[in-house]
Amino acid sequence: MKWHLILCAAMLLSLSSCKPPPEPKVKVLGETLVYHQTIDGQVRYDTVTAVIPQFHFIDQYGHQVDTGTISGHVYVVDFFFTHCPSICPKMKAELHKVYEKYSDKGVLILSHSIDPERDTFPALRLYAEKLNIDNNKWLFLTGDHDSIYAMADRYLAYAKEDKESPGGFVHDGNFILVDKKRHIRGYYDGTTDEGTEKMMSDIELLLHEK
Amino acid sequence: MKSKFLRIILIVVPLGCISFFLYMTFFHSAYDHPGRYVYLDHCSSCHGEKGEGIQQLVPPLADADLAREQFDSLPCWILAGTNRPMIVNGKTYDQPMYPTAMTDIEMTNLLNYLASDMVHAKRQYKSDAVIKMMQRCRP
Repeated sequence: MKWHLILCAAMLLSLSSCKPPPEPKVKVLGETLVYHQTIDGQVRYDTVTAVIPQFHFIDQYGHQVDTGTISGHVYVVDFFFTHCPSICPKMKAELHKVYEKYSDKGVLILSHSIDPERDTFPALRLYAEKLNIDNNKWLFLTGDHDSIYAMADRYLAYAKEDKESPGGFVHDGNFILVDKKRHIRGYYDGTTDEGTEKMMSDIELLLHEK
Repeated sequence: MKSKFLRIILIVVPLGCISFFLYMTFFHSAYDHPGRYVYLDHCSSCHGEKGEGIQQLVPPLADADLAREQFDSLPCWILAGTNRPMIVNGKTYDQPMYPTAMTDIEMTNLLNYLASDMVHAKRQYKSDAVIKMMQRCRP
């Protein structure tokens, strides 16, 4: 009987010493580079995480959008084109939920058109108006062909011209989540409610980061 | 003996009625129409899972006045697509509708599903009539 009591006390003690679970975190994605140099005979290491590089695009109002526009903002990126018959409308419906919930909290959305021929900025403005967007929280971007496709590569997004596929272009259905310091933090299936829900829970975490 | 039998009936019948009522109210929607799957495959990515549409980009189908009034035009709009602006429940939509290939069985199930569960039009189609409708608009 005595032993039982001691055992119970020990178990209670071990329970109370449990640490609270660590705070949930969102991983930083992309290649991490480690530089080293020798200073005063000692080797010093410097870890550099991948950062989205400088860019310049034109939004639906004809204004220039660059890295200054998004500096300090959590933002979401997707690739689309206005004549897209397949997954784009669904992705825009899902993004609209994100816009409604987070545009007041400083989250920006950058939708890159991959069809610069047809999606001039007035065409993008018309498309934005159909989605009832008339502000700078959700930007529809265009620019010159090569810089758009180079940007897709930097976001590790798939976007290509393809005469065979419906609408003339193919692209993936991902939303890409980027933090306030331009690190990619996540990829989410933008064609499903579940993907969007997961992204929104990660946005909550990123908004609390400094 | 007789009164016991009567008592059992008096309990069983109302219980049966209540459970049938509850089943019809809460579980009947789980009994899916075959056209629902055609709709989810071919239509819902633009028109929404509940037919709600997308803002001013894609018109709704749920209780849409235009679809109800011009229900027989739906097969051609689906098969050939259309560029004509549409006024649905008082709002104008001018994004082009893209063509969607579909078999006659799929089209029949889809039309019946739309009529009964989404547009709420008093229509019912058989596949031979639908085949004729589809032939008339094939390019």
